[in-house]
Amino acid sequence: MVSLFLRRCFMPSSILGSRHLSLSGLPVAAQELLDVGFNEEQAERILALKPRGGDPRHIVSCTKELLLIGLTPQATLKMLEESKELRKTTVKELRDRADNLRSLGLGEGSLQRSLTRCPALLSLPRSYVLAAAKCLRQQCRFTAQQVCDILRFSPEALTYDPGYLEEAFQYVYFRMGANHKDIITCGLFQTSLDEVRVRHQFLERLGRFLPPDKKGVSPTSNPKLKEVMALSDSDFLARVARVSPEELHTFRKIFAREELEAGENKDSETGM
Amino acid sequence: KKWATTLPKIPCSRLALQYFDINYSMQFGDLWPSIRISLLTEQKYGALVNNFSHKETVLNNLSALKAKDFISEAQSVISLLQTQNNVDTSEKMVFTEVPLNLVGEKNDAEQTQATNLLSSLSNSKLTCFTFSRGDISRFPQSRSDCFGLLEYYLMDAASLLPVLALDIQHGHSVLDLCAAPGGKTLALLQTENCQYLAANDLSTSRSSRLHRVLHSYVPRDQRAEHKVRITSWDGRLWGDLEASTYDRVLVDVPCTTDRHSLLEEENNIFHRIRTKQRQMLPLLQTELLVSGLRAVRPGGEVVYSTCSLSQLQNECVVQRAIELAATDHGVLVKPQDLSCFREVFKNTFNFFQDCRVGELVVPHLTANFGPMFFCKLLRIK
Ligand SMILES: C[S@@+](CC[C@H](N)C(=O)[O-])C[C@H]1O[C@@H](n2cnc3c(N)ncnc32)[C@H](O)[C@@H]1O
Repeated sequence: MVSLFLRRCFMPSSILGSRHLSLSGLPVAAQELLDVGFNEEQAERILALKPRGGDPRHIVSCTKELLLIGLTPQATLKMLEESKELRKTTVKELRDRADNLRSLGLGEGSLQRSLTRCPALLSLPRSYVLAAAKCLRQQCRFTAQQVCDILRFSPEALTYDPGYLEEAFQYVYFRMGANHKDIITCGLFQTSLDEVRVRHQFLERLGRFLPPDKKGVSPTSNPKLKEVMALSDSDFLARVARVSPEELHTFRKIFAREELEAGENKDSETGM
Repeated sequence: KKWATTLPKIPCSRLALQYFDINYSMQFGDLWPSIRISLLTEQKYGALVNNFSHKETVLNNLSALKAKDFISEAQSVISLLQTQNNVDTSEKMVFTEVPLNLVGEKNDAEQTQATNLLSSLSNSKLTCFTFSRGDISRFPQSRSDCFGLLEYYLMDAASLLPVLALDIQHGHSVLDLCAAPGGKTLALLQTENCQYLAANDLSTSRSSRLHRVLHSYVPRDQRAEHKVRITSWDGRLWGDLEASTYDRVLVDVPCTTDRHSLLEEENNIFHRIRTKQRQMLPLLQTELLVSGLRAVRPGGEVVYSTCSLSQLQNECVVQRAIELAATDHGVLVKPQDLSCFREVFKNTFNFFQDCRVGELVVPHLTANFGPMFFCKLLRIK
């Protein structure tokens, strides 16, 4: 059944005009999308994404490029709908950025999974992703293989500012005694460092998370990094912290104030 | 910012924490983590309103901060329970009758104690504002009112409980054996019941702080020589100096000051060179309490208090002092039941439920007051 939207395209007043009509009578753009495997409803939604007055050819080329990268039609649609930046990216940029990710070691399958999870990898300039990867390699001393694993487990990490990555890494590595392997899988890069610090210091002051020894090794009695970072508040409280929600709630407020005031003190010391 | 370099060397506060972890996890079991985090986190204050200042303005200002007077809240708890109780047992409509749920399973003597204590609590003149549970706001610095007196004194609100437990009545003569810097002394004067107050502290430098506090809060005529005396003697001498003299004695002893020891390096009792002094604390505390028990007249009452969680410095000292007072000095005393405090102050403070004698306020993040142990002793002979 030809939907209302597509039918509207036949009307003389259509912005597409008659030169965009294919032989079958459908607009060329829509037909192209149907040809590459979208159903009518999906094609409609993609065409609806093009900026007002914009060239529908662009969104179609983007879409095709994403399919070439190996994404499914559903994933492609979802990414385009969710990311305005992605819709503005040129075909060449898309291709270069995907190649860049491949060169960092993301194989087929992994590449598509990471992109579906984190479309920003394609909308950010290549230099951003490279800077993040460089920081992970040099400042944080992950191996190339580990950087690739990070790309697979927490692709968001490669979209972060290197300064933030380094700070987050140093916090869990030195303060929490984490090793490289744990850091990759614990969900550090999926949580904000602020939240990690709240939970860690909450546990530390409760006496449930002991600082690492002189060699930097964390006592085995400590909860796993994953349990600190990846659980919901209620699971975290029930399984790890074992205190009431009111206590965590109050601690968050106090901790935020401590941070604020520590920052103010530092500013006044350095005369800023 | 390198996190590696922000780790401290082994400071006294760390030693204190290690010591507490070992001892208090045994003493408090599953409760210890909640207490521990509270000790390591900013404490809450109460604003003790200066009854000698322009009180109405002060009350308005404090109410505007959304703080509440926890003592008047306790008073409304008492009257609510009293009316409920009077409805339940309408045949004996005695106003001062203490509600059954406050008294619990107790004998007659204990019931009378609780009844008397609650009725004087209902009449207390003390006013102390606190922020409600979970509210982490702070009070601004106290200012001078139109008479040049400071409007309120910021202190751990739990410090008022020993003073309230002491139950000072009109015309009493009172001894504050370890008084400096003077928070509780000031509260004692705020009851406006002391006929005479002797405030003592061994340390002269701390006594001068006590002087300054009284100077800033109490009008001259209220601290005239015949009303208030400040001394700097060894409190252990009192049993000999002024035996059987006072109606009420407060023995607020030096202790491991648990909160302070975890947060401040300066003056830390867990410093290695003070180990001996720390180990001698229970002995000093016992001697001070015995001295206080001898200084009170028969029929008078003594409150012993510390700001430590340690059983060795709290219940054990009380029990040892009771024994020593009897065997060495023929002074017989009896611990008084204060469990009704747990009920009437439960909105403001968290109490430990298992003290053998006395009551203990344990810190909790939502109500981060204490630690404060207090135990009341009645001298019989
Ligand atoms: C916990 S503080 C008292 C706090 C005070 N009651 C208040 O509320 O502000 C204990 C005090 O005991 C004093 N002290 C220590 N040894 C003493 C002794 N032998 N006789 C009298 N006071 C002593 C210390 O100088 C210290 O000021």
